[in-house]
Amino acid sequence: MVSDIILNRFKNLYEPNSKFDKKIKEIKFDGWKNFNNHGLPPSDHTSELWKYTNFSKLYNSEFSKTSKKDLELEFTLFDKRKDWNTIYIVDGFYDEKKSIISNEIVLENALNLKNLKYLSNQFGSIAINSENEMIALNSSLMQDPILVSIRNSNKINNLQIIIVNSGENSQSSSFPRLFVEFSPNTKSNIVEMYVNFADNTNKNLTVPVIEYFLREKSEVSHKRIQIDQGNSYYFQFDRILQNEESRFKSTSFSFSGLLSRYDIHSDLHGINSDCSFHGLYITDKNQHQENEISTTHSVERCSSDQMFKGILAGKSRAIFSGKVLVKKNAQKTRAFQKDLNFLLSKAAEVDTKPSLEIYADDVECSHGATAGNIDKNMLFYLQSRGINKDQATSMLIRGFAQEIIEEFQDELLIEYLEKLLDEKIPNLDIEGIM
Amino acid sequence: MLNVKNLKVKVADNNELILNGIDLSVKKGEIHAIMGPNGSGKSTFANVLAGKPDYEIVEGEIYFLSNLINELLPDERSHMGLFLAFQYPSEIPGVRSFQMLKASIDAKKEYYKEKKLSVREFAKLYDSKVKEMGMDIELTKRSLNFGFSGGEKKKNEILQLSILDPTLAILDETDSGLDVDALRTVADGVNAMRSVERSFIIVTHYQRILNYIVPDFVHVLVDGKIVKSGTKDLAIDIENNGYEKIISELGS
Ligand SMILES: Nc1ncnc2c1ncn2[C@@H]1O[C@H](COP(=O)(O)OP(=O)(O)O)[C@@H](O)[C@H]1O
Ligand SMILES: [Mg+2]
Repeated sequence: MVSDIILNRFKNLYEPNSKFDKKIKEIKFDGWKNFNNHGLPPSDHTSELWKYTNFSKLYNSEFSKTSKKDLELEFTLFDKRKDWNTIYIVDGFYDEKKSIISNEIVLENALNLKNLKYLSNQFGSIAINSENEMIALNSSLMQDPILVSIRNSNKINNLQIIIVNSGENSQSSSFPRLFVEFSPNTKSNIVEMYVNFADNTNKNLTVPVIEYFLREKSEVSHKRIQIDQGNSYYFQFDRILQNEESRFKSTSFSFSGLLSRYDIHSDLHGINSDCSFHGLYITDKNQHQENEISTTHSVERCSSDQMFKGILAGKSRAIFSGKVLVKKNAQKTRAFQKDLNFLLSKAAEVDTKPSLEIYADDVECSHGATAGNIDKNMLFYLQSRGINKDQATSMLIRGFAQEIIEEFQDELLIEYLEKLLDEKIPNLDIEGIM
Repeated sequence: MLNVKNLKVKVADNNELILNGIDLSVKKGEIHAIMGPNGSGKSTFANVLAGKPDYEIVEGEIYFLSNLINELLPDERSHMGLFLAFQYPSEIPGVRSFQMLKASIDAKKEYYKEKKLSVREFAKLYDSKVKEMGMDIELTKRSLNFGFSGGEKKKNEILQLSILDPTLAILDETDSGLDVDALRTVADGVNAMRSVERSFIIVTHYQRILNYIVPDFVHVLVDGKIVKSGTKDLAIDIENNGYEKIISELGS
């Protein structure tokens, strides 16, 4: 059986006797137990969570261990931001040398918890092993889990988390894991960035899991960029728990690899809390990008908002699965959900399934999804102004993306993304559409 | 300047002719008004002149500045100096007026292998034109035509007209939906651009705008054909008696 092969493959990577803190070792053990029970998601599409994921590609790869290395990276984007707290995780390992941590935040790894020992009880309770096979896999194989506490409520805390696939090891697998606590009344900017240096011949698997724990009245502005490429597999899980009057505002940008999934969930667990997930995904060639976006309203008077946009070219495929669960007691909930797609090629395909599951009666909810091609009236309008068809097409694609790009509200990131789009958009495979 | 000969046009998936043999000659500096009831083919004519790919020319020729332009792309026609102010300007998400017009001007300069304007030079031109049109500068920071009122959209078309500085401007019902003040601004904008070198085709349903922009010739389009041509007086006749009178004269 296929999953046995996979199981044996990952077994070599599992080290039960790691030197982690006791509680965290338990999570690891529990993860492996869960992964053993379920294996990897079945390839026969029977699992609702993995309905569109073709794991067969993955089954053909060996995924070896990575090791902790001291690498020079050709990545200079954040070099200017010395005043930001910066966590580099390279091939699954925390890179202390590259990272910058001010004394306003507390960071510890799972080998040696001192000041953050109290968090080990929360660790693994926001991203739960039994919820998802990939989370279980991450727990089993996490190489170097990091715990962070953000505590200063007198200023805005800036933290960037850079997850790097160095491309050093061919067919490697890495399992970055973080837990971030936000103390009451803190305000923070979080930037999550995934960069893949692997070339096209190098298949690799990266499965990061990040748990965000928002204590009451904390506010987080979360910006996430995934720049994947080539033959790699990327599954990212952001799991958020929100206490009273907390805010989590997320903007995401995904440039897909061969098989990528962005999976974010927030549990609105304290009244008057608010969460918004916005994002843009771009797929081309034979890429596959899944967006699993979900919010649970556990208590009353919370609001949530999901708005994703997709740009699809080539033979690529994207999935938007947006879920809002409103529990019975979650009265006065406000929840909005929208997915808009721009299909640039006949062979590209999007499956968009916004869904609301509502058990309370006093709620205000809406959802919707669209998929359309380039509007020929808009195209003619621009052409009639002297702009040729190719450029006009690029302008329209760029314009569609712009709304999300502006939401990043971070000059450095906006400039970076705009440059990236200007390079990528004219090269998208839009054959056969017009 | 413009010579249209026996122009017959249809859309791809329907063999019925929308334009049914139009002849029109516009000379340098002239203003022609094209009037006609709804659905008579006015917008189709305007769009075909600008090169909209939805339409297929079945027969006839369009000459612009002595060149046959039947097969030219809309952007090439624009570079040659043809401009269409749309009846229903598209709302274009994420593209700002400034950005689009800069791209337009750049494209034209590139086409003629001329030196491009710097952003600063263009901004100067743009700002002065926005001011002339009395437009709210805030609007120009928004996505093109998004959240613009009907009047603002039309003013924005005239702003583009004045920046792109064409030799032939076609205005498709730029007057409809405008209140008197907006109509005045639009007409002033057009009148300021009148010159012996520039021609206009004013497409309209009503005579009203022609009080402000006085045409040299008036043509009546019915069922895709120019059925009557005359001077300003023809427009006044239509205002007083409606299109029915002309149509019934045709029948008799
Ligand atoms: N792109 C098109 N596809 C199908 N029919 C069209 C198209 N454009 C115009 N028509 C038809 O041609 C006729 C003339 O339309 P139009 O040129 O918009 O008239 P006017 O501007 O005079 O009101 C109408 O019957 C309209 O439905
Ligand atoms: Mg019309």
